[in-house]
Amino acid sequence: MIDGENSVLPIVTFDDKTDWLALHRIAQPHLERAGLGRLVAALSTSAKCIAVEREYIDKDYRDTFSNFHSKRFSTPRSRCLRLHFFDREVTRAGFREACLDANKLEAVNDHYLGYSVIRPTKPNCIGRTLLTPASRGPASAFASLCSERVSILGTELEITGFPFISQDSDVTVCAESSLWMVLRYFSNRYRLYPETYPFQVVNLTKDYSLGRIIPSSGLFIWQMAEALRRVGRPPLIYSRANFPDFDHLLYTYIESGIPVLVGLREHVVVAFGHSSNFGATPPGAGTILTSAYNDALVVNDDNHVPYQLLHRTGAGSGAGAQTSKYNFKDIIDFVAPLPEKVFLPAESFQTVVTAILERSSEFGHKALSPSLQNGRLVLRLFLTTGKSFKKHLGTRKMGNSLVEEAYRNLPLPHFVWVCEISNTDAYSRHEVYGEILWDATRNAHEPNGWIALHYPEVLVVDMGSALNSEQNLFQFKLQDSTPYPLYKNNLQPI
Amino acid sequence: MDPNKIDLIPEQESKPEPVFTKPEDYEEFCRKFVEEVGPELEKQREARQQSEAEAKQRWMR
Repeated sequence: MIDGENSVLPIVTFDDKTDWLALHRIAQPHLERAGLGRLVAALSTSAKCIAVEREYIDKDYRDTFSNFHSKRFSTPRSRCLRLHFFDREVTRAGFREACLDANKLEAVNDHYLGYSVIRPTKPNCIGRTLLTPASRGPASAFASLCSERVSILGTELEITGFPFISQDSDVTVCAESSLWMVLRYFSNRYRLYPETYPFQVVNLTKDYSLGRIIPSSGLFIWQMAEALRRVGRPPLIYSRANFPDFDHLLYTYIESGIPVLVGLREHVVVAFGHSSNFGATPPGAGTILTSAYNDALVVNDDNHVPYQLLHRTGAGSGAGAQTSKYNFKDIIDFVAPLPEKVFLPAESFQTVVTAILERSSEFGHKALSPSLQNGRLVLRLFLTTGKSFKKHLGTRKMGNSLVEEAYRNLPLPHFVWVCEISNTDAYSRHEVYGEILWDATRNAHEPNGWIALHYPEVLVVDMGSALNSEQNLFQFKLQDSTPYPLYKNNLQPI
Repeated sequence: MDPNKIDLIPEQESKPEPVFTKPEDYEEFCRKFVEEVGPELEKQREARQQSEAEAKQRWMR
C-alpha cells in the first residue's frame, strides 16, 4: 500500500502487492538499482514501512554539490530523498498524533529503524545514513553508538546507531567516507567536536597533499591521520608487521569506545564494535587478555551495508551481505584517533600495568592477593574518563563499600586507563575482582603513573598525585570482598 | 597540603597505612620498575616510528 504516492511524503507499507520494487519506482530518479540492492541487503528482515521524504536538503550532499557538482557542465539535482524506515506500519495521522501525545510519540519512536539519504549521485546513491543496529537483526556484539534527532512531518524522533555513508566517487572515496563516519560519530556524541561535511573532510588534508585534492583519487594512511589530528583527535598508527600484539591493541581501542580506521589492502573501513564469545575459554594456561575472546569486529564498509561483522577467521567471498569479505589477517594497519589528553598509548599501558600486576614483588597479585591465585587470571584493558568511572561506582559497588567510597572521593584525571582483574569463572559471569587505574595523561617511563590498585584483600591508592604532588602510596586492608560487575559504559549491546 | 594529613574517606575509623616507610625502599621500587619496562617501551617507540613511516606508502582508495 502506498499512501500519498504523489505527495511530498509518500508512505510505502509492504504487503502482498507492495514491495521494495514499489519503493524503487517512487524513489526515482534518485534511487538506482545498486542502491536499492544495498537497502534490501541491510533492511529486508526488519523494514515493513518506509516514509519517502522528497525534496530533502541534505547538509552533507549540499556541501559537495556546492563545492564540486555545481561546477560541472552537467549537474545533478541539488536535492535528495530521505527514506525513513519502520518495522511496522506508520500513518500520516500517527505522526500528527505523536506530536501531541508523548506516549504515542514513544510508540512511533520504538518502531523507527532510522533513515538513509538517497543522493542524485552515480554510481553510489546512498548518502548519510543512520540506522539502529536492530535493523540488521541480532549481532550479539557491543558497539560505540551515537544519537540524532530526526523530524518527520514535524514529529521529532530519536535514532541511535553508528553513522554510515557511501563514497560518491568524485569528492569522496573510501578514505574520505571512512573519515566522515568517524568524525560524524564524534560530533554526534561529544559537543567538543564540530560537524564536518564531506568537502571539509577533503580540505582537512589540503596542507598535506601534492597537486589537486578533487576529484579524489584516495588518501595515504598518514594523510587520514593528519586530518584526524586537525579536528582534535591526534591519532596513533599501528601496523601489524611492527606490533606483535596488533589484534589485541586494535580490540583495546575499540573496547575503549574509540572507533578506529582499519586499513586493508588499498581499502579502509571503520571498526567500532566487537563480537566476543565469553563462554569459551581461550587455549593455553597463562593469563588471558580479553581480546582473546574476540571473534569479530563490527565495521562500516562504505562499499557495503552498515554493521558488517569482520570475523577473526573464515568469511571470504560468498558470505552474506552482513559479513565482511575480509578477516583479521587482512588488516594491515589501523589508525586510532585518541582524545587530545590521552598521552599513554595502549601498548605502553599494557607493559607498565603487567609489570606491576604480574612481576612486582611489592604490588603483584602473587604478593598481595591469595584469592587471585585460584583459577586463570583474566585482564581487561580499556580507557575511560574519570567522570564516567565514578558515575558507575554506585551501581557496580566495587566489591567492597570502602573501595566504592575511596574511589568516589579520590581526585581522578580526565582520562584513566583501567585494567580489570578477573578469572575465567567470574569473567564468564561478566564479573571482576579488582582493577588497576593508571593516569592516561602520564608518560610511560614514569613509574608513578598508577593511581590505584585494588585486589580483593587490599586497596592501594596514590594520595600524592591526587593532590598534584609526588607519589605517596597508602593501603587499606579489605575484608569480605565480593566480585562485582565489569565496567560497561564504553560500548552498548547490539 | 600534606598528603599524610588528608583523609581520603572522612570519618573512616581504620586509617590507611603508608606502603613505604623508608624513602629508599620507594626509590628502589621505582628504579626496578623503570629498569624492567624500559627495553619494552623502547621497542614500542621503534614500532611506532616504523608504522608511521609505512603509513606514508599506504594508499587507500
